[in-house]
This record gives sequence, structure tokens and C-alpha cells, in this order.
Amino acid sequence: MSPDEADFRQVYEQAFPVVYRVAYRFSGRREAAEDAAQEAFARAFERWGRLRAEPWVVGWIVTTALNILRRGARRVPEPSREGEEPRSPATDVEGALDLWRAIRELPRRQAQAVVLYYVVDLPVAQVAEVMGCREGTAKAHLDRARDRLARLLEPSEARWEEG
Amino acid sequence: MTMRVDEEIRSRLERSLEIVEAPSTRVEPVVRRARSLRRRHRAAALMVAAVGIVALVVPLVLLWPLGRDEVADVGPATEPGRLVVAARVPIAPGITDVATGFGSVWVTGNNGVTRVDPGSDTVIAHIPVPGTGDYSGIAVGEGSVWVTAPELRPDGSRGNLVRIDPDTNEVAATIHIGGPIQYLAVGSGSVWVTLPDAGTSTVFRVDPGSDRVIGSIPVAEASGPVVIGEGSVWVTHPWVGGIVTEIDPTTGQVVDTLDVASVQAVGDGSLWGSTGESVLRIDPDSGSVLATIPIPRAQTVAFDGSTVWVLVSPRSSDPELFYPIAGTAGVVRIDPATDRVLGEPVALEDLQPIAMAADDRGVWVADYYDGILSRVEVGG
Repeated sequence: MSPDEADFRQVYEQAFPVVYRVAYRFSGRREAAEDAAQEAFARAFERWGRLRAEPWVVGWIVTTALNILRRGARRVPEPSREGEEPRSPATDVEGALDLWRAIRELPRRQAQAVVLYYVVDLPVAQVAEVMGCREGTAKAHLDRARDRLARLLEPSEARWEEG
Repeated sequence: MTMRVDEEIRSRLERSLEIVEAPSTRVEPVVRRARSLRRRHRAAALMVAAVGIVALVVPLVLLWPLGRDEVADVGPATEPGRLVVAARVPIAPGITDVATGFGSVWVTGNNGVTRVDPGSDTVIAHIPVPGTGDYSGIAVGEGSVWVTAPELRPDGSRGNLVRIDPDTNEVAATIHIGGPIQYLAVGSGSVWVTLPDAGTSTVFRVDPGSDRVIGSIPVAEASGPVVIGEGSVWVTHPWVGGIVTEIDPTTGQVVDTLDVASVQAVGDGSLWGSTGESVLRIDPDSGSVLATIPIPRAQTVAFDGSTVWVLVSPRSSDPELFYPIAGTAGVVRIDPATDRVLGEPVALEDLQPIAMAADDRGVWVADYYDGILSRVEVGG
């Protein structure tokens, strides 16, 4: 096994679960999420010489998986998410699934920034590198997204105030 | 406040992901898939190279008995891999765009379309097209040559898309769109024409079967060059600080906006654009810049199936106004396997090189100022 492949395997083992989970939250379909995650990793390995040293490589893979899903969704009708959504009363109450729904409805660049910043945990400078834009642009996408998502949090914030 | 919102969002998303059970998958199929992608890209490049070699060698073999004396006049042998200006074909001052196809090179802007035979480097036809002028574009595909004719015609109309039949060298259809239409591209079963505007611009979709406008897509202001590839239509907005609109050709809807300076060519699984200071390699899936290759005055980019060609603008003798210096324009190649410049650039005498198109031997550069079409290829 080449050093490149060994290196790639390590990243795959560590990052596949998060790439799959984000893809699942976006598509609501297990098979589509798994296919998109695997295809994104394959494309990353194809370009591994360029990507391996980048600190934002997992962000690149997540973004690519979401774009693969988006392109696939043009050809496949939107599925009903009800059947496959894992039910968890606790998380439903906390509105996490509403948050994902809101992220899916954001303009694509804003949604991309949200996932890279909040889920992959990249600093804004690296979010900008993955998105191929200036840091200020990435920050603007994040600010706009945060404003919209914060509205979803308002009821619970209000409850905190009351408590 | 922002920090608390950030923490809340992060925490909720984390909890919602934890409850999704990820399947246990093996890395081997992914590695196999990546190798298959690599092989596919290499095979495509080899196929294009093979077609180019056949196109070059077969005519030479056939013409060898007739042309032995002429071959001796070609000139000194060039350094292997070095770019050379192999031909300069006078057309007419004011040419604005160039395209290749149907075994010919097609040039517009000079009150019509000029057809050049790349075998003999001679003009073989001039097709008058009223309404063509300083902002005309040309493209080849769907069995025809297409040219935008934004200027006033004798019939009083402006803004026409004109279809030329390459079998007869005659205008086969004139499709009225209206307005100062400019750039165009052919692909995904349609002709895509941009109408720049200070407000919202429009991309018109024309059906080559019926010669009718079948859609109009509002896009950001000042739409410019359009290219097709990797499953999408890419429209550059050169005057609004670097954005590119992505259109899905199956739905005709805008699906994304990339924060990149331009997309001018598609090849080797990537989008290619220029910033004026460098060439960008852009990932079509994520929109991220995969490589930035510094090339001062990089103006436009073309892809010939295996190599990226870059047209370099001339240097100006004045920092404010454009007074081009002869001999400072040029063409340079980039190897997409390494994202590095290949060999030395070749200098062009052109004062206003305005457009470039690739064929299986190299590239053709149109010069607006002197109206010369130059063929640049790898010598030696």
C-alpha cells in the first residue's frame, strides 16, 4: 500500500461517518447518502496529491458529497423524509430536525458555509478556502445564515429567559 | 449573543447527527472507484491525443509524394515541445471571435463569418452576415455554425442569432432575440445566448431543431462568456467582481453562483478560468479553487482535450490607458496533470488578441486590431 493510500484510508475511517450523516440529513435517504459519501471520497482520492495536505480536506469531501446529492436530486424526485427519519422524541422536541430543514432551505452557499463552520468545525478562513471565496464573503454567508437559523431558536431562547 | 447562537446551533446539529447510525463501509470500493475515475480521465485524454495524431499523420502520409519539395521550405527544426506561431492568416481588422469545427476555423466580427481551411491556412469562404460587429460571438455545434448579430440590420432589426449551414456556407436561419446579445455556446441540445444588462441579464435558450427561443433565464447583471460542461451551463459575469452563474440545462434553472472570477473552459474534470493575474482550476462540484497558477496578464483559457492553453494579453506602455506593446502578448500551455506551465510561452505580435479556440493541432488566436488569425502549435 502506498503512503498516499495509507493516508487516505486513515482520513476515510475517521471522516466517513460525519460525511455520511450530513449527507443523510440533507437527502433523508440512506442509500443516496451512502452513495454520495463514497463518491465524494473517491473523487478526493483521485485528487489526493493536491488535497492531502490541506487542513480543510474533510470540508471539501462534505461539500462534494452535498453537491453530488444536489445534482442527483435533479434527476430523482424528492423523497418523503417521513418514512426513513430516525424518530427520537428528545431531538424532535429540541428542534434539531427543524434546524436541518431550515439549513436545506437556505441558499446553497449559505448552507455550505453552515455545514463547514458548525459541523466540520473549520475556522472561517478555511471555510473560505473550501468555498473558493474571500474570507469576508464566507463570513457574510455565515452571518446571513445565522440570522435565519437564529429565528428558529427564538422560542427556546424565550423559554430560557422565562426560566 | 452571536456566540450563544453559535453554541446552540453547533450543539443541536451535533446531537442530531449522533443519532444517525453510519453504515460500516470498506474503503476498497472507494479506492477502486477513484482508480477507475483516473483511468477514465486518462483514456479520454489519450483518445483525444490519438485523434489528433491520426488527423495530423494521415494527411501527411497521403500528401508525401506530392509535397516533398514544399516540406523542405517549412523552416528550421524547432526545439521539441516549444510553441511556435505556425501560420498567420490575414482576415480583416475588427474580428472579434473564433471557433473550430467541421474541419474548419470560423471567425466573425468583420460584417460576417470567414471560414479558414486549417490544412492550407487560407480563407476558403466569406459569408456576409448583416448585424455582426464589434460584439459578435461565434460557436459551433448541433450541425451548424452560430453567430450573434447584435447590430442594426437593413431590415431594421437588432439582436439576431444567425445559423450558418457548413455544407453550403450560407445563412440557414435568422432568429430574432432582440437587444445587444453577445456571447453564446452550443451544448446540451441547445444554443445558449447571453444578453448583458446593467440590471438583471438574461440567458436565452434556443432550440436548434426549430430555430425558436424556448426559454429565457434571468441571471445576475452583466452576463458575459458562457461555456458548457460537467453537466451545467456556466455564465461568467466579468464586470461584477467575479461571479459565475451555474444553470442546470435539464431544467433551465439557475442552481448556483460561484465566487470565482471566470469560467472559460471545461476539461480534465475541472472548470478553468483566469483572473488577469493567474489561471484558476475550479472544482465543478464544490466550486472551490483547486489550483491557482500564476500567469501575469492571463486573459482567456481553452482546453484541447489534453492541455490547457492560455492567451496572455500584451503589456501596456501606460499604466492608466491601454497602449499595447507589440511582441508582449503570448500563448502558454498548462499540463492539467501537474497544474504547471509547460515549456516556454510563444510571443505574439498581436496588439489586441481578443479570442482563442483550440483544435486538434493547437490553438487559433484572433487579433482585433490587425485582423490576423494566428495558428499556434507545438513545434519540433
